Amino acid sequence: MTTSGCAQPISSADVFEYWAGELDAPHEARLEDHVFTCAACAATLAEGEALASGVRRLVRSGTFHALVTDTVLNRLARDGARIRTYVLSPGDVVPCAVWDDDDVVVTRLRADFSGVDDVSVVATLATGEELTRNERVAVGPGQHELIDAISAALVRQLPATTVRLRVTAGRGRGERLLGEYTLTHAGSLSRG
Amino acid sequence: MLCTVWGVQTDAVQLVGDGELARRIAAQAAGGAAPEEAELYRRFAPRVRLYGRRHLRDDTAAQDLAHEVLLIAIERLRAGGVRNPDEIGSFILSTARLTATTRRRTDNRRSHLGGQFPVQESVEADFVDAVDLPHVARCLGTLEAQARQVILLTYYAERTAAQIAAELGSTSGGIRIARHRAMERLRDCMGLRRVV
Repeated sequence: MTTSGCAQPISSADVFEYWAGELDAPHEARLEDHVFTCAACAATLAEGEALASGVRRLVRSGTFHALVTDTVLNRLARDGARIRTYVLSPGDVVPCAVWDDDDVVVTRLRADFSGVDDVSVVATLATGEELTRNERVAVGPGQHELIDAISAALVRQLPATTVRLRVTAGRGRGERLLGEYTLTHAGSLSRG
Repeated sequence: MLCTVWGVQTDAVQLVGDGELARRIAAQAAGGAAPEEAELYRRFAPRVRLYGRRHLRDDTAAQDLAHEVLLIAIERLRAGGVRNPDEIGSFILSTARLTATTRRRTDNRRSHLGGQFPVQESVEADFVDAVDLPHVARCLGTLEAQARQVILLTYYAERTAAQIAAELGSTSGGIRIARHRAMERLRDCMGLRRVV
C-alpha cells in the first residue's frame, strides 16, 4: 500500500516527529484525525512505528554496536542490561574479556579533545583487519571521553585477540593522533 | 460452494467504504453482520493500537485498548448509537482518546478482552513485530556515528531534540534535521520506502 491514494498524505517528517513525541498537541491531533480516515496514511504511520520500535527493540536486545552517551547507558541500566565497562587512557593496554551473563560491553576512551570538533575512531584486530570505523564523530566542549557500546553477544564471537583502537582528529595530512589504546581480549568466559 | 460464497462475500466487504461498512453493521440485528464487523476490526484495530503505542507507551496496553475500543464501537453501531456512520473513523478515534485518558488517569487494570470479541488475532498481522532486528542492526550500522547517536537518543532513550542538542553540543533544529535524514536512510535501507 502506498499513500498515492491520498490527496493529502502525511509527511515523513511528521511521522518521525510523531513517534519521537515532538509534534505539538494540535498538530498531533490533526495527524491522528487524518489517520483514522485514511488507510494509506495509517500504513505510513505504522511504518514509522516499525522503525522506531525496531530501534528500541534492537537496543533492548543488546544486539547493536554504536558510540553512545551516558544517557543511553543509563537507560540500558534501567532496562536491566548487564554492562561490563573498561576505561582506557591513551597508551593503556588493558586485559579484557566477556562473561556469559554480560549484555553489553562498554569501552570508555579518554583523551584530550581540546580544540577538536570531530574525531575518527578505528578499531583493528591483531591481524590488521579493520573491525570498525567511525568517522566525523562530533565532540562537544568539555567532553573528555568517547563511549563505545557493543553487544556482548557480538564480542563473544571474537576469538582471543588484540584489538587496537586509534582516535584521531583532522583528516589527510592534517590528521593528528589523540590516543591509541589496546585491549587484549581473552575471549568469552563462563562463571559456571 | 459455501467457501467460494464466503470468499466472494469477504472480498466484497473489503471493497466497501468505512461509512457503508458501519451502516451495514447498524442495519443488522446483533451478530448479523459478522463479516462487516470483522472487516471493521481489521481496518481500525491496528490504528487504535498505534494510537495506544504512542500514548500509553506499552504494547500490551495498546493491544488491550484496540480490543476494548473496537468492542465499544461495534456494540454502539449494533445499538444504533453512532449518529453519523460516515464518520466512524472519528468515532473510533474519540473513543480511543477517551478510553486511553481514563486508563492513564485511573491506572486501570489490564483486562484481557480477547475472549469477548470473536475475531481471530490472525486478521491483525502486526507489521511492527515483522521487522527483522538483524536487518535493523545492519541498517543502523550504515549510518554515521552522529546520526546513530541521535536515533538511539530519540527512539530508545526518549530524549527530545532540545535535550539531545544540549548533550551533543548542537541545536534543536540541527538535531531534528539529522534525525529526519537518518530515519529516511533507515527506511530506505529497510526497504520500507513509500511513494509520497
